[in-house]
Amino acid sequence: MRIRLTTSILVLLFIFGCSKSEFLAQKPDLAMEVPSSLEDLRAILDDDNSLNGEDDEGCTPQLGESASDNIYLMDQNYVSNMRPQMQNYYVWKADPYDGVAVLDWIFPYRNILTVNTVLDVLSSNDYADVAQVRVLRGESLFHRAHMLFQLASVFAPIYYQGSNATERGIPLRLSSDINEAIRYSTVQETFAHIEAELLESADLLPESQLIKTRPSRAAAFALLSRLYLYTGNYPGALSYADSCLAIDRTLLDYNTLNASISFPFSSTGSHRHPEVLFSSNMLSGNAQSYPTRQLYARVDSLLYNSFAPGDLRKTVFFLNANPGQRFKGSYAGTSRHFAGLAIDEVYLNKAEAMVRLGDVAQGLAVLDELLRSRWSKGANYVPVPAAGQREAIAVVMQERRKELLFRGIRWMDLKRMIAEGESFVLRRVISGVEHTIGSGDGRWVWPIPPEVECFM
Amino acid sequence: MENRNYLLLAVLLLAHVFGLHYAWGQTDGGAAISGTVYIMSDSLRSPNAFVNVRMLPSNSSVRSDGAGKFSFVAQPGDRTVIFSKVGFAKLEFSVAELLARKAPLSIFMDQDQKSIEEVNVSSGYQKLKQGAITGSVDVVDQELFNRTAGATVLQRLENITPGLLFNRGDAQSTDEFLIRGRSTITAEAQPLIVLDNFPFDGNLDDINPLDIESVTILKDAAAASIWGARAGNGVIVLTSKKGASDRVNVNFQSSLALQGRPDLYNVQTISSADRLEVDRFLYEQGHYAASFTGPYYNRPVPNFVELLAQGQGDMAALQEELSSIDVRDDLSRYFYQNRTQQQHNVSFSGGRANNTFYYSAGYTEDLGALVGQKDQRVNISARQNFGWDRGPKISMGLIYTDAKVTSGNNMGIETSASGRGFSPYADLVDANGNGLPIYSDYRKPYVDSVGGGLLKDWSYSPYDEIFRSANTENRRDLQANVSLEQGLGFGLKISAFYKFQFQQRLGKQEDFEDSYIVRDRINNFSRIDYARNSVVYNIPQGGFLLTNDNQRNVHQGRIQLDYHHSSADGRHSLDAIAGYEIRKLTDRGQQYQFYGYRPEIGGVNSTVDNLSYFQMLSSGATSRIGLLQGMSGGFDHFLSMYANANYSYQGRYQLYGSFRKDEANLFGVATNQKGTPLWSIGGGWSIDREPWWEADWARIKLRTTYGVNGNISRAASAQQTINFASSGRSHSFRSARITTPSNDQLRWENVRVFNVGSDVDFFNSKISGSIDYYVKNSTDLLARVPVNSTLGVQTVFANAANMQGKGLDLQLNTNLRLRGLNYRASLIASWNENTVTRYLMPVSSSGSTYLPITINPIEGRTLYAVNSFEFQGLDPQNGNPIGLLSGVPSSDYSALYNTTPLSELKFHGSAQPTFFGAFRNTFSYRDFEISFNLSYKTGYYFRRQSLYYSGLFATFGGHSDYADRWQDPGDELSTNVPSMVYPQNTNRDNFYSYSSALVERGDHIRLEDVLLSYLFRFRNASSVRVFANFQNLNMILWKAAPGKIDPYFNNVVKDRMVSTVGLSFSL
Repeated sequence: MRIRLTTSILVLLFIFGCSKSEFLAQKPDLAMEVPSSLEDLRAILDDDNSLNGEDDEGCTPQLGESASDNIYLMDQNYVSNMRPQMQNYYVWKADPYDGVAVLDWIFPYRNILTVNTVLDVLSSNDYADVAQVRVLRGESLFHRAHMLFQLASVFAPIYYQGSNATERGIPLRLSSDINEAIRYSTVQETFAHIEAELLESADLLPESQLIKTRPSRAAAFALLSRLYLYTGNYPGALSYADSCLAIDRTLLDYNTLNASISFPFSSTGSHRHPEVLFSSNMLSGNAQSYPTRQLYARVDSLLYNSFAPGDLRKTVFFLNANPGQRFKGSYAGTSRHFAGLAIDEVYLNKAEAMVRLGDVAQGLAVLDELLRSRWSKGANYVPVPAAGQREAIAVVMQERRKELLFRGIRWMDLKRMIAEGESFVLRRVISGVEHTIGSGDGRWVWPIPPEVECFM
Repeated sequence: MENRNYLLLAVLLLAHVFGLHYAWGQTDGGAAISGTVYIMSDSLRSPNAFVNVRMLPSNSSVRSDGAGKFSFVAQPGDRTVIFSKVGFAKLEFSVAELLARKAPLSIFMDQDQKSIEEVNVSSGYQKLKQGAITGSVDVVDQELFNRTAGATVLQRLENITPGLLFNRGDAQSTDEFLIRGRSTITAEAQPLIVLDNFPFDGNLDDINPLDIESVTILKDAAAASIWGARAGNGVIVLTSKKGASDRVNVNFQSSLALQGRPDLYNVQTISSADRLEVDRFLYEQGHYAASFTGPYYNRPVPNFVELLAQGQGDMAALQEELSSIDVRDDLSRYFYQNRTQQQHNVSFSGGRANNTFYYSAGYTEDLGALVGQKDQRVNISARQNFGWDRGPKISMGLIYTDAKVTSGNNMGIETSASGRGFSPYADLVDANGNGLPIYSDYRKPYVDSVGGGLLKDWSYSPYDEIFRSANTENRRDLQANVSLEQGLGFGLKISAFYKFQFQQRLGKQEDFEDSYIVRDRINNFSRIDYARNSVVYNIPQGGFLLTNDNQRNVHQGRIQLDYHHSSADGRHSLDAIAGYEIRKLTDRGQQYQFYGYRPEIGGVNSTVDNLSYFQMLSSGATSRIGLLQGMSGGFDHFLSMYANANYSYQGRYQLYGSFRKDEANLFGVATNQKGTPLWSIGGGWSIDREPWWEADWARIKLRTTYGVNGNISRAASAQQTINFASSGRSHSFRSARITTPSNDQLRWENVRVFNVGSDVDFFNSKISGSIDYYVKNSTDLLARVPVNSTLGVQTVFANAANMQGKGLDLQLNTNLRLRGLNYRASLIASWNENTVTRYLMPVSSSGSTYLPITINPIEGRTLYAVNSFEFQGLDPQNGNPIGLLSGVPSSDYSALYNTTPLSELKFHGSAQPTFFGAFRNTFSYRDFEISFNLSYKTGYYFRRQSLYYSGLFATFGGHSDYADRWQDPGDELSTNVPSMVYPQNTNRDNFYSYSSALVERGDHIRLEDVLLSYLFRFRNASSVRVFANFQNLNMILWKAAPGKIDPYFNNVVKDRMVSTVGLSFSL
């Protein structure tokens, strides 16, 4: 009997003796973790599939490019290959959304939640490796600023030298709390926040990184240059373009490319492309079939014809699709459109800023430097002729359009041209019906998706 | 002292066993006999009250009193004494034998499992008599469980118990089996399976049904809530056999089941003549033009198109010749086989009083319907119980299973290398039995010429491939359990249980060097160097091997206190238990892929470049060789405490209450939110025990319960969690993605069940039955709900949906006896339906979302709803199907398919049967028995398949409705099959295939089985039962839908009848 009692007591001790909280704290799945260590955070920021849109879906908004004057669609593709919502994007419908999830909004905010998680974990812990903390914080801030800027370029009015300051901007989502109350900021708040965050990240980031999916200081400078250009702060645009080029001013000689293959930049790949500073891809899922889809989008014929015979881009960028031309010059080296930051854009920022600030000759010289690398060795490159400021601005804007095709930049440039006082009308004809958008139109700001609006 | 009692008891029992024989025929009389009747196998040694004691041939009788005591005086000439009571096995003694025993007599009566009133119900935690239970419980006794000779537990439970639904046909893909319908959206819907006191965490097919003593099905909250959070879907409790303490028993059973090769002609296939016509049409339309041009001129075309392109010979004659072929003839003959299944089992059991044993060994072999299929299973089981009258009782059990499932590269009629299917006129095997190639991946000219003889043979002959790959899974399952119980006096008993389960699952996919899979991949990854006339192979020579190994460890422990108290006057009785339970499950898995596999020397070649991109020879696309490797680990921890109490007043009124709290290692949840409390209450009223009740012939009991069950879903997490990948897409650094956003307001799912029922028994079980009505209100069901996507996620897992299920379970039995003839019948009938009462997901603007039959939570509808487009017939002008767009007839298929809102779809009903049941009839005459079972399922719908032009043009096969398509005006009066348009209009096809024209009622009644058996008895109490079962008769007695489709076999191969013969020998 004594033995039996002892056994019972032992069993009881065994059962009650284990630590209950430890027993229940076992994670249910080996591959699962609550992020805490710097290694965890490093791994999160290396998720290039979502943060850089390296997966098949992409991540930066396509709304601007789909509605820009760079592309046109054949009637048959518009009718049979596009859902109503994607068709609406193309014809600037005031009420474009038709039940399909608006990834232009969803994916950037998804990425923001990811980096917010990193930022929250970083700020709630004390890590010994301060240098690594700086890099991770810098990358997170850069990603957030980049995504907010991309969102603002399509969903908010332009903030041009203080214009639209009190208009509705976009929500600034700054924490990982799923119960956070979301509210819109003003346009001024939106851009002030992006600027502050970029400046801080430029301070924290290393000049360059091992891989192009990690933001670097050069990328932050390039993005600052883009931001200042968009907001009409030309001295700022020039200054940060210079800072960026001081780190890296490499240009790829297009004579080294094989223009006949299906994607001329595939041999280099965006991450080894010497001009890429930061890799990011535009939304491009085949299931979505956006107007920008490489299979359907034709390049505006006037634009195509504006490439001179000696300009290698005429063969490197375009695929004869009969009728018309399709774009094959993505720096991603695939059918996805590259929408990150590259050195060629910084050259153009610099050239434009100089011209706008009155230094026309120097500005055009910068442009020449870029174009020489695009020119065939067999053809003699003729420098851009000297001109007045007004003509020079037009030349630079046209060169921006030609160089930065399918990068999501044309929409920003068009908005900026309107802010500068230009007036124009874009036209599309589908099945004999004409659609237009004029420079005075309200549709330059895309409406907030209804599935977001209903929660606000 | 203890030992002496034990010895005495053993001697008495022996005397009882052998006494019967020598006492026969003696006459004695006038002697007084007295003693006490006890209930056998009850560790608390309860007296058995009101037992009828009858003397023969005088036919005088007495009853035992409330304390089980009896006394009588045997009349002169009386030779036999019979002890009987409903719910117990009848005992027969000779008067001489009783007189020979030392007074006072102790008579032990064994419980009989045939009566509804006194059946012993095992909840896995305690054993109760069914009469004392207030909840809804079905018991399947051994006789019923062994009615058919099915090889698995589930096969034997189908159609014999109410409330348990086995879905067949298309509905099988929704839920395989359910107790009282589905009550959750995202969490596990299958009932919890309990084997010998603990949840069984293995493959149900591995349990040897011949080792099962009884099955208890716990259906309502009061019955199931003792199992806590995992019991929301009901519980099936399996109890293994134990040795009986009064006899030594050897049992041998052997059976052989035969099933003809399945009926392939049940698959609605386009005729060869029609397909040849389609081939010719498509060829003439230039449909295959792309296959004949360009550097990759290998895109496959139907064989007849190839012949047309060659243009040699008399095409009309060839077409005539090919049209006489039906590919199903070759498939049936060479890819299918007659199925044979054999089961052999031997068991030994026996023991003395407190010391019993049960040993068994079983072997099952199943040569499946597909050539190359073979399943084997070995079961070994041992159980030993021993103990002392007042000392501890110890029980130890060991169950070992080794199961091996093998198949070749043969999917029968589904076999297809590329998804294009077979041409109906394909010839797969020649007259000499040699496999013939088909060209469903690459065109014949390409296969014949590519590589100029340098590559491996690139032809594909499906028949030859059957044994060139082998897919095996070897499952080993070891279960060991120990329990210890000790009476403490004062009606208290303490017990401890421990169970260990180890399971190993070794999966192996072997593709041998000569298989097409290997040759195709190696060829595709090779580069031909035409200058040197050589080939660079980037994949090593040899076959492929993919292994998938999983191990599972489960430790489960329990400590429990039982209390039993009956007041001295027998008016009050209380049974209560309380316990504490722990459960720890660990899963580990590894997956490895190897190239250069040579099983004959046991070697693999690990030098594979799986990083570089190679250009595929057949398409020019680039691809990595790829190496599937990975590890996984899963952990399931549970802590539970529970208690219940059952109070009975004069056996007339019962009150029941239970409580349980479960805590689990839910991830990212604070410890205080890891648990959920569950409870139930119940009451019972045995009306027939009221003093005023006068109808002796009728026994009626009413009972009702209410309680809360739970359910959990592991997908939900309260903290942000991440999942790692070993590299990114564009780089090789480790990356991680956020898998679940945080939601600290998560709660456990909650299922509140109300049950009211009644058990009746008339004329001494001549008619008996039960009826139960229940309502299950599921709240806080976990589902993905939309949130402001600005937060970074579009949906979060939240307790967002409510559902209501309700139903009725009815069972009616009759047992009639006329001289030697006995007729038993059992009708089981169930009604169950569920409705989503609340769902936060926005209703998609496009109704087409709700067309596939899957979980479609729509408020106010059943979870698996069948919806369709309203079909308005065919256009008499052109044979276009007509739909309704905002009430107006339309053939704008893009608009119909993409924009028809949910409100304009036709809602038919549930895809799962809502009324179902069976009617079982058994006739026996002396030792001969014949039994048959009818089943019915009604109140549900399925979608018939028909012609899909997009598929017809893209594949080599097609649907036989092609012959019935609209061709000329007037056809619309006799057919619903749209006219052929080329090129295809996929939206038109989609509209038709999801239209109401193709939705059919599944309602039908079928004859399930006919069983025959004969029992040969031998004088030494041994016997042989010989039986023959005819199952899967697929004889439909009535059905609602017109046409020939059997709802169980909707356009798939149809199983044939299974004939089983066997014998069961017991001594």
